Amino acid sequence: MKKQRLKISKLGFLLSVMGSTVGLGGIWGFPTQMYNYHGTFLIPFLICMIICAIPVLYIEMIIGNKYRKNHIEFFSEIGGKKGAFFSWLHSTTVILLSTYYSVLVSWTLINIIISFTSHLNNGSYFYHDILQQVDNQDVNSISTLGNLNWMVLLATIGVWIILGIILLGGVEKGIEKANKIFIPFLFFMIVILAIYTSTLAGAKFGLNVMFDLNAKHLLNPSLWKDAFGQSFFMLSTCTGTIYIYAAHAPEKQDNTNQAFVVAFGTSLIGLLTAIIVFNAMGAIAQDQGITDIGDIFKAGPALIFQVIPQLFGIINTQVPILGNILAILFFVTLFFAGMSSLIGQVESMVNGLEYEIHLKRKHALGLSLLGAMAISVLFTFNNSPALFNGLAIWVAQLWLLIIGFILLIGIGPYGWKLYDTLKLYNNENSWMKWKQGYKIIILIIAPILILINIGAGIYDFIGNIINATFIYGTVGLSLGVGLVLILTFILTYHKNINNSFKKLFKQKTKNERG
Amino acid sequence: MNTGAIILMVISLLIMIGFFIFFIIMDLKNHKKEKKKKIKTK
Repeated sequence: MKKQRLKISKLGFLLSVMGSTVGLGGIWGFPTQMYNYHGTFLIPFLICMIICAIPVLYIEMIIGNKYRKNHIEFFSEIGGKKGAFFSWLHSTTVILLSTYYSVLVSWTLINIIISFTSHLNNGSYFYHDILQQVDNQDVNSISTLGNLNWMVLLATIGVWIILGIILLGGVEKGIEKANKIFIPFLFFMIVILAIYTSTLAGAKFGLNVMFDLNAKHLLNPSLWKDAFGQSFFMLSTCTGTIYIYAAHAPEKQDNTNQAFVVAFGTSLIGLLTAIIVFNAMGAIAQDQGITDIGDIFKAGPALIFQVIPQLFGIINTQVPILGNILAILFFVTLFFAGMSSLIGQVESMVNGLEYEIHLKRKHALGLSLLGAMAISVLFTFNNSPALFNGLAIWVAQLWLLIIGFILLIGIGPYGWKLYDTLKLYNNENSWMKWKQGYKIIILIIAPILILINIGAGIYDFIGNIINATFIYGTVGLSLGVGLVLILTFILTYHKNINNSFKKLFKQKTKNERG
Repeated sequence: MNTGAIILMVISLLIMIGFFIFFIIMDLKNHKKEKKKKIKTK
């Protein structure tokens, strides 16, 4: 018998989708891009978001909302085995993404604990003493990963346990409820922190760098490539999560409008986070008498876990304990942002196993959590952070772009076949009608942009293999490509595999009896 | 703070906050219309 989906409210849907889109990647990704291109970045970012990222987002919302199915049920039904393979690719990609993402969330958990202690005043305590990180570490084989970091391992297990408890309640009782707490808190705290950090001495210095506008940068192709990537990955499209939430949302909702709410809400959080980071860098530069912010800036997770804690130490020297309080609020906010995204990533697999393979939710959840948790151990060694990029280039970049390209152009071809049905559904329910020009944007311009970025991503990957063979060649190819494709294949052909095993078993018992 | 930086900061914040609130208002309007429709059909 087909399982019935319980409905979530319109607000619950919006908060759940925003929970999925507002994540740790955006929290350091947006400031990193603002540092690279300054204020000029905002122009191509908004253009790319409106032309490409938002259309993909509302296509996913409309499919889930109209057909009341998750991505796996939907694509398996219209595309047979090819469709099933394509849809499972969403889930296997994000479940692997969750393996190192959970470790990053565990870092926020450890930082919450550090924020209660005097170690906070030593800005680099977490990065140097807990993670034992040194700049430009060299990892060229499994033996150079260093020792297992027990504190990170325990915190990661803690993250998986919390995640399991939330996900056990399903979309309606677990995810919706959690996001109704996480997202309003996150919004409120980011606004408060942005206002507070703007009052710090030196903040002006950071904001001047952040909002420096140079029209000449617009001619730089890398700016457009990075703006496209940031807008596309920030909206959690191509992960399967959006279909799942939309299938639980009220029927015939205005999905196009909802997609715009999510996109601008997420971008606003990204921009405010960048303001917090640049205010902090300005204040640190002033305190240390540094004139160039570039001497402080660090790209990626180090920006949040190595640079920002220095600010809380400085605040503590001016007003005792205030730095601790702000640090606790800041890292709790990050923890909520990370958890809400992690929920979406794992639910993409759990929902597929529950509705398509018909496992009980408990079993689907247990299988997904244990599998992902086992792989996440690889990222809890002292030198593991160097491995993140090897996997991330595939699971957080290339596969998502490939899925987006296939969704629009399609095996089938989905995009071209589905367009008129989706347009009709949208125009019946939304005040934003899809006009003729939309078809050109969605089915021609957006796929071309995605294709260019896939090419650029593969070019980068090949370049990186030459420089770091173990990280990109071994980890990137074996986990990011090999494991994703093997898992996708097994899930797509699980019935055939199961039947073959049964036949083999019967044959064996016959032979034994004979 | 530079005047140019202030202008860009204000414009970018206004765009993001403005559109975010605009789409929320449109969603609420749509919701009211749907409710009225439902009451009429009943």
